[in-house]
Amino acid sequence: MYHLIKKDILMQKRALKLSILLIIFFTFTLSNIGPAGLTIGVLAITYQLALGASALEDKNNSDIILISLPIKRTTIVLSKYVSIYFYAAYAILGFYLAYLIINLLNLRLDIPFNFTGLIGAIIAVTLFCSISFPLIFKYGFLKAKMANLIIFFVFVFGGTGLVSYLSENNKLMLSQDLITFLKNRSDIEIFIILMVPLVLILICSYFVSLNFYRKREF
Amino acid sequence: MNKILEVSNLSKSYKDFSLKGINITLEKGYIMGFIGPNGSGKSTTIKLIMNLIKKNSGNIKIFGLDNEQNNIAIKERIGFVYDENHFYEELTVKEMKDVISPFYSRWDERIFNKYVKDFELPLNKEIKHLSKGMKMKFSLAIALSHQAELLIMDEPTSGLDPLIRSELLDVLQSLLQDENKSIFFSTHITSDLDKIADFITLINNGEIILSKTKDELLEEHCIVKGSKKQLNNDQGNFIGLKQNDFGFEALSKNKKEVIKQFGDSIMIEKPTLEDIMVFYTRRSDHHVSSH
Repeated sequence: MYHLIKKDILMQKRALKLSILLIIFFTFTLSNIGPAGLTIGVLAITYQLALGASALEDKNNSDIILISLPIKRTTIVLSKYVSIYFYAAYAILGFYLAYLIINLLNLRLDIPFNFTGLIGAIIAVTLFCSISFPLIFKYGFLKAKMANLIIFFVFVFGGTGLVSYLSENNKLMLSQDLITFLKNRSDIEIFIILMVPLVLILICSYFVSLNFYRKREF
Repeated sequence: MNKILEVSNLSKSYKDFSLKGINITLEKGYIMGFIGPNGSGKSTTIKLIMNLIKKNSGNIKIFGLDNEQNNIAIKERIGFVYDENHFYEELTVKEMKDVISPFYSRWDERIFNKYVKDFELPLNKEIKHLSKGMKMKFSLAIALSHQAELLIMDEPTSGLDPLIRSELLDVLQSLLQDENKSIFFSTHITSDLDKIADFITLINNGEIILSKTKDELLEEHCIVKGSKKQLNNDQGNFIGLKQNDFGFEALSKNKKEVIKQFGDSIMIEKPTLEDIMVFYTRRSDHHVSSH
């Protein structure tokens, strides 16, 4: 699995360099929207790299090589899922470095690097890939491209829209209850509460992808 | 166990094409040329052998093992070369090798380096910048560096210049000095097989037309040439027939009968593999069934 992830990273040397520019760009543009800025930034970088790897795979029709090698399909699918956290870690590290540099230089920028933003990023990245990957494993990147693009924008705009809707209408019972409930919990507790359904979604997505990939013909 | 590859009653249906219960057997230590025109089912058969597509029915046994149930164990012992490059073009030759080699438990770096030297492969060049010939050589180097006992090659020579084709064939020939290696080689360029193949299997329209040793095949067939006047209605000895203003040319499996029928007035020549393929598979009104 390690070698498959390494392969995905190696073949995206250019995309990795480009993502440094994106991190710098997002650091400045998304700094004024709070923790959501970090979430969106990490999601965008991970999206670019995770789907970029699939795009290159599709371009070369390289699944043919992977299937012809002594590699289990479970390993191929699992390595894709694990790779997203490598990309996310890379993006988080990038934003953290930007945060450190800006603090060191005492620039007047309020960089949103905190635990809430990080949890948001991990949730967003997991959900996004859990929905996108089964489509890619079934149809290949190109055929799933439009659907994935729609999912991405629904995520970004829908997610931020939902948050602002809930906060504007905080008289709503649900949101009030939710806010009160969450306010009384520590960050770690919230993290655990969110992680359980998240892991379940991820596991379901993995098995759906694996099922699609086992049936796929090349 | 001498049967390296055993395909029995293998079927696969698509909307516009189907493989109709084919049977192929390849013994250890031999090269089988798998010939047929474009679209005859060669690649479909190879994809089924390599588990790239799912069969509808039938069995594929490699090294005596079912190819679906023992997928990984079998792939460890197979080397493959495809007609197109499917390697990651963005990686260099060395990076691609480093990704692939850990998956083979019997990977031999020394052998790989020997082929890199022999083929003059540029290790630090991105695969997308290699010529078609170089890509094929790289593919071959990978296929030969993990002590594979069976090489599966799907039209490896298509689009290559004669020099590289001849180089490839020399490598394959030298490989067969090791009696444990076998090669299943699909091509529509039959001249590639003149030198190296032991067995020939001809496929057309998803059906195996014939499968036997190359020598037997060339021995039992003959090309008959004569003038149009000599061509009477009895064409039962002909497998295929070509006619033009000057005369006719036909393939026959029955040399003695042909001589009896036409006497000395016709010319009888040894066929090439290409003649055999063309006469058996041509989509012409003049095709005469041998059955």
